[in-house]
Amino acid sequence: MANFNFLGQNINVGKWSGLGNARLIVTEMATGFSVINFIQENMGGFTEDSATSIFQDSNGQNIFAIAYQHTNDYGLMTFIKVADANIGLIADDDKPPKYAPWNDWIQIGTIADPDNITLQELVANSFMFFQQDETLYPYYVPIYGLKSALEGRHNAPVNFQIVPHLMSYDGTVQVDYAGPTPYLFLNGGFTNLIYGNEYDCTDPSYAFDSQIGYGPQYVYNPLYVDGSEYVGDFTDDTATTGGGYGDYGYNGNGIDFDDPITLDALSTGFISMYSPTKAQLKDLHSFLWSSNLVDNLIKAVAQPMDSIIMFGIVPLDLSSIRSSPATEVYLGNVATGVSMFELTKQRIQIDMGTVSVPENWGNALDYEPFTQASLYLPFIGFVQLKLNEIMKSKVKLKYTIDLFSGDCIAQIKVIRADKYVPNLSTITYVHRGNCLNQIPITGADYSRFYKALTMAPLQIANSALSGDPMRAASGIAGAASSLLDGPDVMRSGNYSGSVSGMVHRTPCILLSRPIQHFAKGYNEYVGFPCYIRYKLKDLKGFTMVDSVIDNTVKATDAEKDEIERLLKEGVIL
Amino acid sequence: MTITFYKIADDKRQVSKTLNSTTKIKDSIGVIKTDCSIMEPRIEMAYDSQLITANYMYISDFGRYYYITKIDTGAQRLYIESKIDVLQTYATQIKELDCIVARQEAENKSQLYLNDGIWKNLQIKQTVPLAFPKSFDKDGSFVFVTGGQS
Repeated sequence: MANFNFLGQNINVGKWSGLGNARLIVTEMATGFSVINFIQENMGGFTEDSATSIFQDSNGQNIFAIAYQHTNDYGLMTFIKVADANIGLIADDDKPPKYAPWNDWIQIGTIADPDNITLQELVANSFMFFQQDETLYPYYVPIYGLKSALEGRHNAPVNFQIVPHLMSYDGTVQVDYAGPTPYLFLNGGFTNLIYGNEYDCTDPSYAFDSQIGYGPQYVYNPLYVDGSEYVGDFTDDTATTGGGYGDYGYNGNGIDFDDPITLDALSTGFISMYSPTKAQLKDLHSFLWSSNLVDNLIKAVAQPMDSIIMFGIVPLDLSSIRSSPATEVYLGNVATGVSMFELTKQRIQIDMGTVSVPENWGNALDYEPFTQASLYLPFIGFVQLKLNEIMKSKVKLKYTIDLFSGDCIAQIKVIRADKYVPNLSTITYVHRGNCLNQIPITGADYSRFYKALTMAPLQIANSALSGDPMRAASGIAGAASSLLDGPDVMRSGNYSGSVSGMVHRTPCILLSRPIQHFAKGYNEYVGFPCYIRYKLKDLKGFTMVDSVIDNTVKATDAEKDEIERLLKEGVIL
Repeated sequence: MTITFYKIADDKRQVSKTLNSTTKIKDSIGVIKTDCSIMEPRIEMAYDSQLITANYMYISDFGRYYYITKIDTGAQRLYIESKIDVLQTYATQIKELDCIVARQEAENKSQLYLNDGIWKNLQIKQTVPLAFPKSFDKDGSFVFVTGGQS
């Protein structure tokens, strides 16, 4: 960690700084190089964890960047990743293959478990990398990012990877140096392959993709890297106040995951829970099916099977809540001579991790009714999610499982912090299921045998004393039959819940996403939805007016009416 | 009165038309043919073959621009019907207007999260699985619950 003072702000930076809305933006080529130099200069003074810089973009927005390297040798610094609401990884890259494959990158920052970042989370964030040109050491070739075709708006999907590696940047991306099959990796999908030629990045007529939101994407100067929608110069009139009598801005206080209540069935002392190994179960089996006279006399009297409350399998690794060493198991007051690992908790929480739900188109198509979402929860099934509640959010899933009954609840927490939903972090869904596969336990029941054994002499004697030879014979036969039948089978529990052992075990959000159909230049004739107040002189291109605030044109009424009619039909400014 | 004739290729929706030496045909003299509105004046003038190709004009006396909607000829005369182009005529003032804009060409001036019916999509849908990073345990564990002392 390091404290960094810039522009009057004391910034605490480091792997887990968790700064909000961190961005790296390079506004122009010259600045870009100076920024890189700035990072380089600072890296010398930082540990291997981090190197930082912070500056402001042209809109006065503070920009924060962090870099990582093993040593002070600049040549090792190759990647910088800037993620939304945090600063992401920066990998070193000093060993062949020279450029780490992207799925080797990890994320640091607000994602709780950096070792388990998913591909989706990675895709949801942006990155940039610096390329060392081997021939011009220590010259770094920056690829700053991608920008929308239309000036001003800097779209979210700016993940890209350029392969192979040697590239340069001077206002264009000279992919002719990049080898035979260079390509860009944009927002989870490959764009058109780019072969050989040099593209003028300042020419907005060249598009890698013709779809809005997803594209058009241009390598453009200035170029930006940002983990989410760039809002610096984006204007809209989304109301925060006015138009109603609400409290405006009350965002609630959120519901976080709770630990299960402390008291549980184990607290009563009446029951014990164990997580036996297969070997320990084999020992228990031997005890329950023992033909040992003493064991069976005890069992016949104490009926230990009655003390078995539940036996089953849960799809969990319980090693973390096993007490050690193993202790002897008592069934009622019968010592079994079998030791098992006792469980210290009745309820256990399983964190299934976090999934980011990224926009694909960057427009209304990413939301209902166009896109829908469902959630597969193991042992519960598919449940519907309101997509508008989870889009552009991080979805965190935790299970709480009662090991006694196998009942489980899945709690879904949604975390979002952006322009429209500034501070959401709350549980929004809870679903219930059961994950226990119950298995019956059996044992030998010699009680009837011992009863017959002890009662037979009396029956025979009574029969003999009766003087009735037939009755005597019957008594002898009955006693003999009971002895010859052998022990009964005791059983505790039933077999149930077998489905829990067969279901898919990985929870998953399923998005059902439309494919946008957008004619080239459609916006030039129809326009994008707007409903924002503008002076028309601030606009260019096709513009359709909903209403004129005050028609101050010095013209006849008929002409003014004509002007309004034409504006409402759409004009080209 | 002096009339400046043009041949333009601009979209009628274009507020500011391309009026320069390239599009200009010539200045000429004409008169109002009959009583008419200044929004749709009818002009009579001497025949001029150059003007046959004109589709736009400016009447300096009116200070207004017009689309030429019809040209008739007869007896060495031209009869021109026209309709005012309020967009070009009042372009400067129009650009100063303060408006609620319903649709706009530029992404950065628009609100792409509004759904006003513009968004078209195929019936085909992509299913995108987003798997959580952790799964339930493949091996599982036994749980054995008993009553009595431990």
